[in-house]
Amino acid sequence: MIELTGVSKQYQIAGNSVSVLKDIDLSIEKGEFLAIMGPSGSGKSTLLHILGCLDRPTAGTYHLEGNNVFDASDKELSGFRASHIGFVFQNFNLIPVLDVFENVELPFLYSHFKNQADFIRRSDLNGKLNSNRKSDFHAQVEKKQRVMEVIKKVGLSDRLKHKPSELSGGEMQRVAIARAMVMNPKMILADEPTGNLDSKTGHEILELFKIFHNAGGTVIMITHDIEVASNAEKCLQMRDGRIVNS
Amino acid sequence: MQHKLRSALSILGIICGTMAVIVMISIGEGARQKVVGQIEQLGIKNIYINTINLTEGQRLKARRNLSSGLNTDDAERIKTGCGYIMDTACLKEVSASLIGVRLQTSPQIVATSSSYASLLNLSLLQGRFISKHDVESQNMICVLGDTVAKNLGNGGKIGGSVRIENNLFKIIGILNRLNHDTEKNSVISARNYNEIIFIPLNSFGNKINISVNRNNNVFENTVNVTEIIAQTSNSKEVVIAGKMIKRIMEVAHNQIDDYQIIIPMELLKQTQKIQQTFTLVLSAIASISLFVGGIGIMNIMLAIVYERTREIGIRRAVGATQSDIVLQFLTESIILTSVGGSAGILTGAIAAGLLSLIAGWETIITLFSILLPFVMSVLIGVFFGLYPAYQAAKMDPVSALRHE
Repeated sequence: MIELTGVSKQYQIAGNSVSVLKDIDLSIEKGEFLAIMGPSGSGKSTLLHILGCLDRPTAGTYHLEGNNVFDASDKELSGFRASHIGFVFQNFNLIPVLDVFENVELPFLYSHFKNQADFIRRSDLNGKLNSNRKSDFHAQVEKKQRVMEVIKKVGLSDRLKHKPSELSGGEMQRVAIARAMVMNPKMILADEPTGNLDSKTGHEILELFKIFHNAGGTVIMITHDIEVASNAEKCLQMRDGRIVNS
Repeated sequence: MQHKLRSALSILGIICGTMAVIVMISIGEGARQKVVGQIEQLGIKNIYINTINLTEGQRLKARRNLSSGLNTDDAERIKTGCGYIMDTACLKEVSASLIGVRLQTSPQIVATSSSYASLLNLSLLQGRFISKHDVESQNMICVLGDTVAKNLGNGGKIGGSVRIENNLFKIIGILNRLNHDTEKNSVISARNYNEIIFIPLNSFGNKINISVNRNNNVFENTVNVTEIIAQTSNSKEVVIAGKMIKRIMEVAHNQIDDYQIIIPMELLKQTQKIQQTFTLVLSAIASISLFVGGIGIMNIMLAIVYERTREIGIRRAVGATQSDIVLQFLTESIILTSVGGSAGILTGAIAAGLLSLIAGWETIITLFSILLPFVMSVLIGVFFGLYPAYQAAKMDPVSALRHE
């Protein structure tokens, strides 16, 4: 599913070029649960951003499901992010003025109609309606159903109208995971998802990733914590922009 | 939109600008309608030829050149000489007064030919207007204006009579009431038909002895008049017809300018020119204030974009394209300016209402005067919101997410 060959990334900082990723080769199969470990500044986050189509490599090729990300336009990259990728961050990154439901609903805003129709076809749960003939109203109803479903899955059905500031850290991270899962993405990319949480809440969050993984989803997770990493099937060590083992 | 006060302050410029636009248009429209109303009363198809009071020297010269002043023959010459003219009417102001009644204002007494009512679109409440026959046979009849008839009370009914100097005139018609503007600042103003008594043209010259009638007529039945009205078949022909009439009159009066030709349609154009200057000044004020307002919008939008950098990063991460971001911030700036625009339209409409209430200026709020400032405020939202929105869209998603 993911195929990286010779990927490097350089930043220009004050006229000096800094190499963050150096010649990375990596392939990730569909349905893997992968942990990435390494000290700060080893390039973990940059690698994750590149995998998540938020950033482009300076050199090398990245094929996501056969599409070359290097050549993709902004619109195509945004399309990948909307339909294939869910992000979970250490600091949750929820929009403070929106409530739980609206935060989870957000990705629908940017899945343009074709994707939304595709999405509905993919997740046609009751199968009673012919997806081709679905009206906007039905799409709206299904969208609402889907949002409610993932919120229920993360256990926040009683918090729909709460703003992020009224939630605990664990709850905020659950909202973020619900947001990442709502479009039925192929993979979830998590940047230290348990970093700001106590270990108990951290475990609960990891359980949610496992549920997604057991349903056939790919999870790529950055962590500092060996215990957290032990939940993954595979662990990748990074140092100075290179993969040390795999 | 968390910063209500800040947003409200930033749209002040837009409010002032749109207010200026709507006030400007409604005052302009009010003034225009007023002039148009006056011109319409005078008749857009009409050409007026008026007598000018001559000085002693000019009168001498006029007599030498055998010009006898404006008279009914001129009307005949115009009608036969100029193809565009469908009909003419003659009017003579009579300086006589009503005898035997006490009225607050003395009505104006005018002697007219029968075609006068149709040329000026006068309609009658009761009875009929002076007919051709009345003029020819010098009938002692009259038509009263609405106010005159009312003031005469029971005597002001059809069949009754009024006494003008030494003669009794039978009332045969009463005019419908007409709105009359008392404004006297234009070159020619419509007569006040509510305060008027019409008598047949000939009855005046022969039956009433008035000093004005200094006849040195060439023809026996020629009467001197104060005003000739010539009507064309449509308003486009008045200018060319006016030129022809000028030529005819020059020949007939042997180059003596004892008359003036006034075309109401041309007056309309003159007033429009004056108004353009006024509109220009106000539009300058409006555009300066809209421009400054637009800069205010740009300023607050840049601040909003900076404050919400992380939100932009989040939206990009869940799949927003650059154009989605542009659209989002453009929408916000359009909402800001159109709220400002609507507020400006509202206050402007109130201001226009107060102006006509206090200053007595006529203002008319048309659909155009509402739509134009609104569309302008939306366009300002687009124009001044574009740069901040573009700044937001071109942010690097990764650094936007890390922004504190």
